[in-house]
Amino acid sequence: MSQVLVRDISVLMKVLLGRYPSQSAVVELSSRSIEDNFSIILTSSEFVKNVVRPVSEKKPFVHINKNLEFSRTEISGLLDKLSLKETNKRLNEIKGWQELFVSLILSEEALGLLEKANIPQTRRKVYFDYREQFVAAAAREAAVISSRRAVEQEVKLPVLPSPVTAKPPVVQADKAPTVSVPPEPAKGAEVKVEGSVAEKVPKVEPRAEDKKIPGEKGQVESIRLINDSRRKVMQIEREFLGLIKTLAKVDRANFEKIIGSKEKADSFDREIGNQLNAIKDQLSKSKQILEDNKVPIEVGSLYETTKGLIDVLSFDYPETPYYARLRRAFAGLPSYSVLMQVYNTLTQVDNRRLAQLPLATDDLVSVIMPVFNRPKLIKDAIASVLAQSYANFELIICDDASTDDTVKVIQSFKDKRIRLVRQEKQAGAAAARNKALQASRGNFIAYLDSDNIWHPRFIELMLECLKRSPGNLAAYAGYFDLAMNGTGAATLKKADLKQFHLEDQLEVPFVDLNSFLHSRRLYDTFGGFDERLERRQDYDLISRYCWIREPLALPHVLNIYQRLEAEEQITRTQKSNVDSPKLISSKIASYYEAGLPASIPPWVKKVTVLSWDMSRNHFAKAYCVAEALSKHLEVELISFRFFEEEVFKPLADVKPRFETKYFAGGEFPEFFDNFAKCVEAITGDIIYVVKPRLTSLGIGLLSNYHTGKPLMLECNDLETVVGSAKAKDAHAGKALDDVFDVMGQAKVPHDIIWSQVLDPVVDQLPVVYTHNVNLNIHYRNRCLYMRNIKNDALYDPAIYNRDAVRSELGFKPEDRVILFGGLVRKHKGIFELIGLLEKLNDPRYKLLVVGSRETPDLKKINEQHANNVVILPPQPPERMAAINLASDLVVLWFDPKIPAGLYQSPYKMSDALAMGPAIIASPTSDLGEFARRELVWSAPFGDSDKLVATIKRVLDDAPELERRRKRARAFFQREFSYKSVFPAFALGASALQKDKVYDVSEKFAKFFSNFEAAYRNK
Amino acid sequence: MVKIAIKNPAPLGQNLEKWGDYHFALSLAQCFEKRGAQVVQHFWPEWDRDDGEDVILVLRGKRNYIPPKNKTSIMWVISHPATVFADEMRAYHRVYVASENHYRMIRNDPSINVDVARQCTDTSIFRPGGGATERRGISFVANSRGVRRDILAWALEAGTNVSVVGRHWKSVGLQRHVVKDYITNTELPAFYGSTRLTLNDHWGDMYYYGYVNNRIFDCLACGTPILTDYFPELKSICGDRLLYARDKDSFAESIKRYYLAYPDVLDNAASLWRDIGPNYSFDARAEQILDWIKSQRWTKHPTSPTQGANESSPQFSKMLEKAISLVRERGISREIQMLHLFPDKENVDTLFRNSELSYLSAGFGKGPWHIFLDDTMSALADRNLDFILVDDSQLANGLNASALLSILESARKKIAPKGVIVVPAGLNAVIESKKKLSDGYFII
Repeated sequence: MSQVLVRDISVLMKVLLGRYPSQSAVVELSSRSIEDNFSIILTSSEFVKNVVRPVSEKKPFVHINKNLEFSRTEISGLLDKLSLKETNKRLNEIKGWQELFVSLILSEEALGLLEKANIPQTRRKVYFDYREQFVAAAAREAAVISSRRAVEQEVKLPVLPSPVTAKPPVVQADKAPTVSVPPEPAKGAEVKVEGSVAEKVPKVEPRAEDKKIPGEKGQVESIRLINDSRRKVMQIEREFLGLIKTLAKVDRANFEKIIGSKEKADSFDREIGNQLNAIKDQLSKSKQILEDNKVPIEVGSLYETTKGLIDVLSFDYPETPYYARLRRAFAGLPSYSVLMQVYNTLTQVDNRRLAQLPLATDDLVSVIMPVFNRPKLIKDAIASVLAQSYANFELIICDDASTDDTVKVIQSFKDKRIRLVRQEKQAGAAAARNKALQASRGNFIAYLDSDNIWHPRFIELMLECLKRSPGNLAAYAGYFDLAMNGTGAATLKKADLKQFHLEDQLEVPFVDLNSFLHSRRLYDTFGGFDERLERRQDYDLISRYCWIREPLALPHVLNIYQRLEAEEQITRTQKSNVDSPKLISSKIASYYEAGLPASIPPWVKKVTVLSWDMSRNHFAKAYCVAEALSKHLEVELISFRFFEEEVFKPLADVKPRFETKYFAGGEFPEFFDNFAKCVEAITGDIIYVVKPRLTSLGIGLLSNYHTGKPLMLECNDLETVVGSAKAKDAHAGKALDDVFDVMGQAKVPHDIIWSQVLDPVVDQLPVVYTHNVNLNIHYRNRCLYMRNIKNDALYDPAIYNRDAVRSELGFKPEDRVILFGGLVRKHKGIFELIGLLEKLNDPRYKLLVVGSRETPDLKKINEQHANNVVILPPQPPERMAAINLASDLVVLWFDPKIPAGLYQSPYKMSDALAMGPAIIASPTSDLGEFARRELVWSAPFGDSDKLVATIKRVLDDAPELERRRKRARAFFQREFSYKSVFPAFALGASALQKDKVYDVSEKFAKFFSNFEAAYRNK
Repeated sequence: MVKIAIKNPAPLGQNLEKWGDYHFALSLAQCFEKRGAQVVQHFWPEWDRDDGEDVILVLRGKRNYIPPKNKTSIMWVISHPATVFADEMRAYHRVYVASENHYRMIRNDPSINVDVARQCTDTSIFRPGGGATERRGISFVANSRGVRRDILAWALEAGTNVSVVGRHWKSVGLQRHVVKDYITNTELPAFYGSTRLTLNDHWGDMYYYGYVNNRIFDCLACGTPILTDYFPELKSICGDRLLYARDKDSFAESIKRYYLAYPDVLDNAASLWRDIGPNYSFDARAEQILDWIKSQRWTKHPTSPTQGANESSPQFSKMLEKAISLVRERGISREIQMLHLFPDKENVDTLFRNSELSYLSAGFGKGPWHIFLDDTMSALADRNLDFILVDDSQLANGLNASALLSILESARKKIAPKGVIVVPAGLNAVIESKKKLSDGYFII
């Protein structure tokens, strides 16, 4: 688009400066600052007076007088004396000319004219946009000035209200109001106010319907201002047309002479004619659109409201450049979605928090800003940081060996929160950012490049967001992509905001580093920027930081990225660099295949994994975590045997390659012996406790109490409801001392009372893992994720032969095998599946049930449905993998009325994600979100018709099956494979202190001391 | 104002401050001075100095001493009670022993003016330490002296991790548990104050006489719970508010309580000290001693004791001289690590006071000696002793030949490569390969 603009202007240039007809000259003119110069020339005599004249001796070389006529002789006269090149050179030497330019174009007159000059390049609604914004600007300006004057005169005057915000006018009743006439700069926006001593309030002339409430007077007045402004617009419009006509009426003979040939002059004429026609067309089209759409330019429209808000904010909060830039960006009409984003943010954030302080926290936020030769842009970037509402930050700017005034500009800011670090040799943005990171001290880190501008509440909002959900360690907001061409015309190109799924981000990135804020723990664990990358270092960093735990999406657009044509923000060499993308994709491939590299604190050499019991299936998770961690660290797995099975069956024959310490279970008081022995047996540097049970968490707490060894707790069920599958089994948390009321129950270490008293303890532990959104919510959003992981060496579709496994199991190629794995219990939807087969009424559908233990439910099924149901005994892990591969579909149907199901993340799901059968699930817990992410399909629980329809639809859509299979596999590799364990563990470890006894451990120890005494004293 | 000279067994020289007696006397002196007394310290070997003091207070540990007649004299037996005999005590106006048990043994002797003054602690230095959350680990502050100490053995057998502070643990193969060789007295309160539990035991003679060591009181003053060996006098003072171990099973029971009920254990230590602390400070002892001094007329003197009490026979002294020079000839230059097996009362004092020897006594079962032996002498480090003297005691004579042979066999394993085992001629009959050392003694 900007190219069109350049061409248009260059055509005008040709006409104006007819002596430069050659193509190369035109290119030269249009490609650099000439177009800027032209705008200035065109728009401001101020510029000529202040800038050009001192440079070019006496006279301006072109200048528009009040009648918008310009002197041809003046132009050629001047140009004869000063070559264009020289003019450019001189202009560039004048410091601050760009700033001047900016301020000039922001004056209404300039703004209006510039907008007109832009008409050919804008698309739909341009006319509306132009006029709209001008009216608003003019009216706003007028009203602001009026009210300011009124305040000065201590008279209440109508303030231009935005429909959303209205600053209360200052009233001093004891002083007589005086009549005030709006000042000249309001450009015809006349404000007439009458008042009398008797009334002591200003009086306006409202329309009849606006007389009701005094507060509305301002609005009435503003409408009048706007109407006046409209008249002014019409006038300027006429003048503009006059300008164009003048352009067209250049003295023909003279022109031919200058241009050197008639043909050339004719061709220019034609071009001019075309351009003019285009402008006219555009104008009338725009008018037509305006009419057709019946878009009223009135107070209250979304655009108007938004613009009004921006005006107020940019007036009231001049310390941040954000609003001013946004205001300017509104010169180019944003798309509807962008407009909505701006409106939402302004109304839901800015307007709700006007002048409010942010929540105070101790958190220091380090803002990382690399810079190389950006003396102009960086000012705004720095100012936007200094204007942050959240004041507890350090801004670390790393100068990458700038060769211009950049460092001076930085040093001109005297804020103590700014720290400048400098590279001796230019080493690139990644190295500069790393250097700044190394110097940083904050426990949160944000990034702002020198060509970006933050919303003044960026840090505040992001921190708030992370504090509400401390288990997520990063957050991102949306950003505006603001394109500014040479004339300063700005367009908000997009405001990107998407819900997160890493595979989507990897495909088409939508998280921008400048609107990303994260915990220092991510840096500690996953390192800084990859200095080998010339570009897309941010993409690489974000992919690592979001790999194991997704960031929070803050639904506001809080950062403006400025694309400036004049600045080479990404250099050509960077653009053409193909090594970086290659390196990044090989890195990402390796994360999937070998796991994300992570570092842990040096004092962590050994981990103790504590599982409350080893006889039942809950042992599997602890075992898997221990096994996965044992590739990276020394591991010991400690557990008790409370039930008849020696060890959970599928693991009975597995020889662990890590240390195990198993103790006999029992009942108190005899069990105290082994309880104490277990506390003593712990030798890990970190204790990874699986489930908040007495013989896991209780042991962990006592160990922490004695040794200060840090704890991590994994909650993979709501233990208070998991034991039974009835709707009435609601969760209940109890106080520790409630144990003394039920000593009979409490002698059994795995009695529910222990789960009930330990559940509230979870809140007070530093690191909690879960694998399920509802558990995360139950534990106040504090959890990291440790999914229901699987050994990816076994759960690898490549190592099995699907057809062979199917035929082994007795299925025909055309069969559609629905798999039900895991413990057969009523709440897991098994009976619904049986009923389903009948409904599907298609012999191809087979139900394959792989049970874990003999339950009454399983028995019943076995007896009743021998024909189309195949039942297998519990299978070892590698066999389960093959069975999943051989299956076509897994149905995960959870009754939302049964609490137990709402807090689980079934192994069946992990298996299926890994091995490829389609998953149809009721939108329960994570499965709702997984459907949104297009990993699984959803069908509501209990509606078998919809389920039948979904099954058919899914299994008939082979391409979509394949797409989701790939997506699910990637997701599995990232979050559900053994490889995901160590980075997740490392992330947890980064929050732990080496030697610290938790308050809750002390509390528990006191309680347990009393519990032990209760037996001793008997 | 009374002037007191403390006869301090700590020897002048660079190791002065490493002696517990040095710090003991310093604390005591301060408490005397607080109460208006003037105090001078006479360190070994300058015990014969006279600074014009009115009262001599002998801290009876390693050194015995006969006080001049013209001074009021007090003996306070604070350690090694087995080496103190009635005659020596009779030379003093006043004798304090550090246990009720010891007191009962001698209180009926009308020529000994005896009272109980137990060990104590300096409450200006040993003060309450951290709470449960600041304390870490189980510690044991003790030098091994080549002896595997039961309390530590039980701990290790139970799998309890103990941080040992002290020397000579290498010889018994426990160096890996040592976190520090030596801790100064000034570091000790902070160390105790940051430890969760301290193990404690008593040398056999202390145990035999019911002497509670000062470590108990130091720790209690720091609020530090103690798991200690058991004897009735200790229990009578501390009751159930300490953790006790008589063997490895009771140790395990106590350590279980430690793990499961530490808040209780910690509270017990604190409440115990609240109750008994006031009676176990140097202030209390100074008060007690000064009270007695004030009650005395300075002119009254005890009867002159026999000079050179507990002298061993010239034959024994000659043997000792020869044995030491033999050990030195063989190239052993350190302080000679000496074990006195089946100690004969007559000889103990001579051996104990010899400055070239690091003296340990041992016998079967519980007796007034340092180490209780089993058949194999398992409590002792192998190849660590430079000099074993099998004494001509009743006990040794009472053993039958084969038992004695097996003991000597064990003793051989304990002796260092260049060390000597000396037996009296009385054992002649049962020992074959031997060579005469001096009259009445052989080396085997």
